[in-house]
Parts: sequence; C-alpha cells; structure tokens
Amino acid sequence: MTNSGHNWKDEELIDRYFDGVCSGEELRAFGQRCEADSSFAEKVNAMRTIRKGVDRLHEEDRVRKRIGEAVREEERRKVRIRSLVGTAGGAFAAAAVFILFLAYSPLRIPVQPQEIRAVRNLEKTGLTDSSEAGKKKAFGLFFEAQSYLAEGELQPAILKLEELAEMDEMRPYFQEAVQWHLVMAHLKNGNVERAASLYEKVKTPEEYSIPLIDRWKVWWQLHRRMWIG
Amino acid sequence: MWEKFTDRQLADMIRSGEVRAESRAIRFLVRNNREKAIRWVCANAGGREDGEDAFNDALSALCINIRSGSYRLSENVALGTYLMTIVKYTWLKQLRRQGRFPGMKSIADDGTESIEVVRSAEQIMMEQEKDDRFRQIFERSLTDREKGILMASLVEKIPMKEIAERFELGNADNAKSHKYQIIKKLKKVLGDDKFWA
Repeated sequence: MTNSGHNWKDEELIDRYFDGVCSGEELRAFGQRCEADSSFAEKVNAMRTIRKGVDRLHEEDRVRKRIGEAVREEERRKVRIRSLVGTAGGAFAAAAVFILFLAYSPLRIPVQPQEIRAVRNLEKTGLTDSSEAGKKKAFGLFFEAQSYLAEGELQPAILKLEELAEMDEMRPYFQEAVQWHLVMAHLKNGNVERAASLYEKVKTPEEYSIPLIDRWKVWWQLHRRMWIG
Repeated sequence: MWEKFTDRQLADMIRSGEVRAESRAIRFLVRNNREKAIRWVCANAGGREDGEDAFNDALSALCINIRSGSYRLSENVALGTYLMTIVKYTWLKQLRRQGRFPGMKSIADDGTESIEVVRSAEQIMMEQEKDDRFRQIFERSLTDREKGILMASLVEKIPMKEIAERFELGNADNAKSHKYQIIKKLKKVLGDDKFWA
C-alpha cells in the first residue's frame, strides 16, 4: 500500500499479525524476519507498545466510567439512608414527645353536654327504679363526685362514685360514666391497681363516649405508674 | 440487605467485561472500601478530594490489571486489602510528586500488608505509571481527529472503509495511510521520550 510515495507493507503485515489473521506460513515468516531484521523487530515492538497503550487507555476510560457511575450511586444511597434515618429519627422523636405528653399531662375531667343530658334524663328514665328520691340521689351523688374530682378532693369523690357504682339497675351509659370517673379518681389518688382493674372494664365503652386521647392518656399514666412508680 | 461476593467472584465478574457483572463488582468494591480509603488518605496529610482521587486511580488500576491477567488472586490476601495497598502507593506517589514524605501508617488493619501484596501493588503502580505517561504523550502529540482515527481502528476495529467515511478521508487506502502516518508520528514521540527510550 502506498500513499504519498510511502510503502506501508510492513505496517500492514504487523497489523495482520496483531489482529491474529496471519496464516501459519505467514507466522513462520514473520518470526524469522523478526530475528533477522532488527529494524522490523523494532517496528513490531513499537506497534506492540502503541497497541497495548491504546488498549489500556480505552480500558481505563471504560473502567473509570463504571467507577464514576458506582460512586454516584453510592452517594445517592448515602443520601437516601441519611434521609431515611432523619425521617425515622424525627418520627421516633415525635412519638416519644407524644408518649411523654400522654404519660404526664393532667387528666381531663369529662364534662360533656351528652353526659349532662344523661344525668338529667336520669330524673325521668335513667333508673328503672321508680322512686323519685332514688333518681335524685343518684344525680346528686354524681354531681357532687364530679365537683370533688374537679377540686382535687379525691377521697370524697371516690366515696360518692363507689356508692353510685353499687346502685342497682343503672343504665349502661351511666354505669360506664361512673366507672370512668372512678378510674380517674383512683389514678389521681395513686391507687393504681384499682384504677387498672376498673380501666379494663371500661376501656371499650359501649354507650358512654370517652375520647380516644383520654383513653390513651389513662392507659399511659397507668402503665407509667406501674413501670416506674 | 446488600449483595455479598467472594474475592474470586469479584475477580471473575470484572474479568468477564460484561457490563452488568462488572458494574456490580465495582459497586461492591466502592461501597466497601471507598470511605475507608478516603479516611486513610485524610489521616495521612491528604484531603477528602485527594482520597477520592487516590481511590478512583487505585480501583481503576486494579480492574485493568484483573482484566489483563496481571493480577493473580491470592488466598492469603483479601482483594480489599490489596486495593487499599494500591491506594497507599497511589497516594505516596502523589506526595512524592509534591515533594512531601510524611511517615505513613500501615494501611492493612488486619496485618496482611505482606511483601507479596506490596510487590504486587508496586507492579500495578509501575504499570499505572506507564499508562499515565502513554496517555500524556497520546493526548499531547495527537489531534482529536488523529486520536479518533487510531481508536476507531485499533480499539473499535472499524473497517478502514467505514473510517474513511466517518473522517472524510476519501477511500480505505487513504484512511489506512492516515492511520500509519499517525502511528509513525506517535512512534517518533515515544522514541524521543526518556521514559520509553
């Protein structure tokens, strides 16, 4: 092959040799020429160096590309983990704060219009006992107990509520209301065992409505006292 | 949670050259060694960026040597330890270039920085140095077009006719002539270079 008067025959032969397309006869002749012709051997060595160098350059570029991709993915993975840890940490902290709130915030005395109506209804239909005095007594006891409870006078509140709890033929709504007030009175008074046993009875009320947050508060405060006193 | 591979599996995956397998192996090596390498460089007079560069250079050299068959898997030496030893030599070389020679701690915390590993790592570093020098010459002495022609012919093995079309060289004979002229030019520069002479 010539171009601009140059003969590239040797280069073509060396290329064929490195491309592995020489025949057996060509290979033998190639070997003999390498031994006999030092300038040809030099050309072969130079071509070997260039081919190896170019191959390794290409290989390095390829590998570096893969490394770059792996590093970027690793960085993304770290960001994901950091964000996950941050979110989980935040959620954990929020849950801990909420539990502390439930376990330590003061219990609310339930005063609900529905309850007041129920107590007032007691005068008409609350008790199956037809005695007017009985109805008035029940209403009076409950009202007094609530007042004591609100003022922090727990012993008289408990006495009144226990008396109410022993009354027969109480409507379920009113029974549950009395028990819930008793749970809180005992809990505030430090009588954890009694509060816990009453809580078990009233934790899923059928008629009396206890806000979920209040039930959680009582549960946590009962358990806080049981676990850490 | 994460993939686990033995050193033999990693070497086989890199050697295979199959994109997916090679990427998984490289990802594994990056995940398990990169931070450690960066910390080590930081503890030896370098910064985080130096550590990142040293690790990338070392991993690239290791992969190339696994592919070329220069790296021989040893049962006594973990691939990770081997990689970390190359990081150490890469960083040492960098410090020498900057004229700094701080005292260095042993990199292998499992006590496996044996003579065998050190020699092998040195061999890889020498190969790397050759590659670096070749790259410098290749980049400086050839134009982008010349580099393209050479890569297309020697690496991508594109037929000369197609190369002629791609680089607007007329016909296949002209393209071949161009290629040999480029090789001749490169040969001359390499011959004049002290490193290769």
